[in-house]
Amino acid sequence: MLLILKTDELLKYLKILLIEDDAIEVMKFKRVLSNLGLNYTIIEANNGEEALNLLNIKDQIPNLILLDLNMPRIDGIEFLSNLKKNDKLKHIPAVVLTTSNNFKDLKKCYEIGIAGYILKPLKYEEYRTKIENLLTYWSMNELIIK
Amino acid sequence: MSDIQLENIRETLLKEREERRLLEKKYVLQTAEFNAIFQNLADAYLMMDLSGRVLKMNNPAKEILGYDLEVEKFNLTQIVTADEVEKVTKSYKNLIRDGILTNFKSLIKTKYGEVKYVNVNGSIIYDDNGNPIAAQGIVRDITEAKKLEFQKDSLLKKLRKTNEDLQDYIHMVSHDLKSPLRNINALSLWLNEDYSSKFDEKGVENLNLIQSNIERMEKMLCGILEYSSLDSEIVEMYDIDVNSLFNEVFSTLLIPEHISITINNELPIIKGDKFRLQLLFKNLLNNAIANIDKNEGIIQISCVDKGHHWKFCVKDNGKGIEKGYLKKIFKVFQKLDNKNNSTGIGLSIVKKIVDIYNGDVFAESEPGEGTKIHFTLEKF
Repeated sequence: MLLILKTDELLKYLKILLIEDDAIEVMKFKRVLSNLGLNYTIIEANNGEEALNLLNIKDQIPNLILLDLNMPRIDGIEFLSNLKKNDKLKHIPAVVLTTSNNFKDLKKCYEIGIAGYILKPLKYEEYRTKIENLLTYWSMNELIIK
Repeated sequence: MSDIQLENIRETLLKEREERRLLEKKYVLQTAEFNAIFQNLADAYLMMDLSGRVLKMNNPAKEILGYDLEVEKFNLTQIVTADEVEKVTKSYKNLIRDGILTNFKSLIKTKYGEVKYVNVNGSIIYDDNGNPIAAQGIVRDITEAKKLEFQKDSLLKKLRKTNEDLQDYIHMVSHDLKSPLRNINALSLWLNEDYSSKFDEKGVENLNLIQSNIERMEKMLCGILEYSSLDSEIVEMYDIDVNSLFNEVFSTLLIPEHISITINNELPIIKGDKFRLQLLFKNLLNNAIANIDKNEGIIQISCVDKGHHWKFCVKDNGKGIEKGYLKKIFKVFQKLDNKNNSTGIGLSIVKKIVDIYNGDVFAESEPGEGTKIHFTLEKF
């Protein structure tokens, strides 16, 4: 269940970088957010390469990164390694959203340093619940805004 | 000296001459015999002085090395390949020091430049004062055996690689198929949400059918992923308490209220790996649950110690299996009816895991009454 907080002040502004190559996945994500009443901005990138380019723009620095693993050009794991090597960016929490429950991927991601690993369920309702909980959780966190 | 004395001496001499003649004959015979053995040995024989100059060789040695002592003199150094000089020099020194060399393997080159792989057993010959004077060795050509071994290794390597590729491929494909499936699921659901007023009853029903078919396909893909992931990790064996393993499995399963699962006797602690055993019991229980057609479902689990292995049994009071299908149910994608929640993979995963544990699995059933799935797991 979605936690309902009384005052808007308690919820932080989320500037989310969503790295996802599948257009319908992006639609799903936005649909969930539009019904959620959170204060947010979404920056979209189709793959790791695009995301790394976006992160070079100073005023675009997000305070939360959500990423898929299977992507063309630079995939999720490669992106994460790059992110965590960059002193200016490594503080940004990155949460993996994927359909792969492959143990190797899971372990690798946590080793590189992720803030969460969420399996995208098949059913949209379950997906909605997970994303809602995820974003509500991060809205309650103190985040670094640059 | 008397005549008699002379006669005695003459007789003794004759006797000695006769003995000597016999001995010589025996010596010739023995030498011939020895030579025959020496020449007809399957392996090559070489004798050389301490500097490596070959003094004596047999026919097989001629064949292996291409050199013939009757035609030309040659030295050990001539048959050593450039890469092996250091290794051979070292072990030749060891041979002289220790007096013996066992199963020394090296590459050699023949007179005609052919490279062969040989196994050498050597020993040192000493003079009466115990000083080393020569070395001798039996040389066996193991080139063919080595080639076969090499072929076997490279075949195994290729096979392993192909298997890994195949697994990666299955994993990738089933994975990539999941994404569009998820999209279709969301899109058809949105149709229902956003245009519900435009659909009539039939339209809504079809949308629901799309949903249930997607779920079925998703289950199959998950099954394939599970099945293909089974070989990829190395089995690490440790003690596992099957009782608590069962409790963990129960907590992850959706067990309908009308079905009760009982454990008939204390389950053992066995050597195994948790990942596979959980998958094994999960799939067995899911299979039993899916087969129950009675108002009150009973699933019973038991285990007996059979010395070298554990024998488990999962018994249900479901619809049972006709005799002709008892073996078929363990094959991949083999299902006995087309119910939505059956993928035909569950029991093949069971079979695969039991195989990994060097066990057997078989089903016993009374149609209408229920099924017993027996399986064994080797004690490691």
